[in-house]
Amino acid sequence: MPECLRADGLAYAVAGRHLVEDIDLTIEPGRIHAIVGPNGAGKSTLLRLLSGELTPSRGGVRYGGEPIGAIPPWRLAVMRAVMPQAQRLAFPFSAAQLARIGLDGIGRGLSRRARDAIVDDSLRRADADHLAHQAYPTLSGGEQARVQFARALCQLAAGRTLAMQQVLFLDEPTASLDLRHQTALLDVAAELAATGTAIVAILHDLNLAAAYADTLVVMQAGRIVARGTPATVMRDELVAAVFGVPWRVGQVQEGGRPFILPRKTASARS
Amino acid sequence: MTEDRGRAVSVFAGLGLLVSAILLLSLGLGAISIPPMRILDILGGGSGSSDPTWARDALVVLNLRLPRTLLGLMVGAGLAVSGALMQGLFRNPLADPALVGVSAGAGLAAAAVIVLGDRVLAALSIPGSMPYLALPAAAFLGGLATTYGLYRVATRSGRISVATMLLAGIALAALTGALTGLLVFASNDRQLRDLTFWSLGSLSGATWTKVATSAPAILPILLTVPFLGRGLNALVLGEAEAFHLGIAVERLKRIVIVLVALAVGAGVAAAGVIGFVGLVVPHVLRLLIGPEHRRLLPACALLGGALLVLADIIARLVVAPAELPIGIVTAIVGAPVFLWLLLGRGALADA
Repeated sequence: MPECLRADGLAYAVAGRHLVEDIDLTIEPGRIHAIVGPNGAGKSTLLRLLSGELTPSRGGVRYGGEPIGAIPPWRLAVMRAVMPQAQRLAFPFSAAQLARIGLDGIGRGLSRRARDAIVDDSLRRADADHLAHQAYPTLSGGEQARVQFARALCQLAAGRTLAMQQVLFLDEPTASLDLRHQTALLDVAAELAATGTAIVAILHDLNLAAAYADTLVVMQAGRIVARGTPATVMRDELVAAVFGVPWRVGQVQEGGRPFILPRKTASARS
Repeated sequence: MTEDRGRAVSVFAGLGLLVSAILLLSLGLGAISIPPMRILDILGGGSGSSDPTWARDALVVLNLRLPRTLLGLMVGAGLAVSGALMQGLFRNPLADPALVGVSAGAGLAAAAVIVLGDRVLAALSIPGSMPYLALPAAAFLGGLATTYGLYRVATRSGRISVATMLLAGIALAALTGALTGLLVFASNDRQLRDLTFWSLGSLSGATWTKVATSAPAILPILLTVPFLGRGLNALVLGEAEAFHLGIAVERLKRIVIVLVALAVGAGVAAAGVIGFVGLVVPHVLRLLIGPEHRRLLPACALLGGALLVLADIIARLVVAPAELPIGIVTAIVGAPVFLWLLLGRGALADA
């Protein structure tokens, strides 16, 4: 099985408490990996370990067989991009300037024309081209998220000229997006996956995860408790055990993708 | 993007003109007025031996006003660039070298030399008075020590916490301010005058020696500016994001801190504590050309230098033949401008 990113026996502890442990994970090119799990399950910590932001207290991460600690930051930036959770910015960068920061470092070998084209294309794919000249701090949360997505796309596009294998990390990318932009963003991620990019996304919406993921990674209390295709992983017992809700998993006819409907908890019934 | 670039070009052209005009003013105005053409002649190495006043004017320009103007340019540029760097580093447009205690630490060390220097010498029974160089050297070391202490306090397991550093800076500034006050309390009349002069800033003591001793500390920050812009742009997004973008974050932060300590320490050593340049200049320029650091930092160097020299011209002229401390001029002009910026641009203070 091809792999571009591999974690072996990964653990991360702060002040003696393990935030994640015993993580063995293979990220495969061309596939969307959705990480799901309740709050505090260690999803974000795992993402930060995989992207190289945190150094694990045990175990290690390898990109294409190379230990991540041995890869200098600029080369890592060519191989993977990260779309962070929404964040504030105190300086009035325009959306286009902010997206351009994504390729400033690794796109230095490109012509100005090529860089302009990448910025325009990324903003368009993130449906943020009409925001290009607006100041980032004045945008709404969802608009800011799309600009950050455009920045990650810029970085991938610039890095693609240098790296064979790329990974895109998305940390709750749909959290502040409306329904149309949620699917639009994940559609772009799926397009990238179709061209060979590996996608690793933390998602809270199990239905989005089930609809888009090739591999569902379920985390609980710092460990991976299940992984596989959504159809094999999303079962009534697992949802009850991991998320603590007694909801039934249904199945959409086309493609047999599972879905789940919220239900009012019995004890809350009046 | 194109209109952006056009605007940046015109702003830089305007800044270039401003710097040249202020240079000529600074060299020409004073107790003796010298016309611009003659200044250019003198700087060009011409010899107008036919004119009896030529030698006097050449002496005034080359030995008094030129070093003073150059020192002002350097100190102003260093302060403005330091301010912009600190604001980028702290991701907060209100950060300033004075705020994180660098200037206060330098000022305290200088005050200690002024008030205690002679007593220490007497106690050690070394004849004579403190050598002149002790003062700038102490200010410089004070700035560096404060920055290093701050850095140690704010660093946890290899990472700098920006919030801790800002708060620690405020605490340090308060402490050094109190200690400086204690020294003022213990000083005699002559020392008090020296202290006032130092704590309010002045370029009046400028000599070629001072220019030559400040240059090695201030020029590095001005020369590395072109290489820092890209990293700072990324750093403004957040430290994790900068790392994702391929920046060696911890190294960049260390470089910025050392450069700022050097430039501010040397600036305080040469001209005393001068406020508001590091705060107001980057603000004004962000309004004009935006926050993109590759443009902002060089523009800060130009405008910071020009404004400090302009403030010096004002300080020399308003109460001539006496001189105002330059820090009074920058504060009287800078503080209201800063308040006006805050009122007009609420979003900037939203950080």
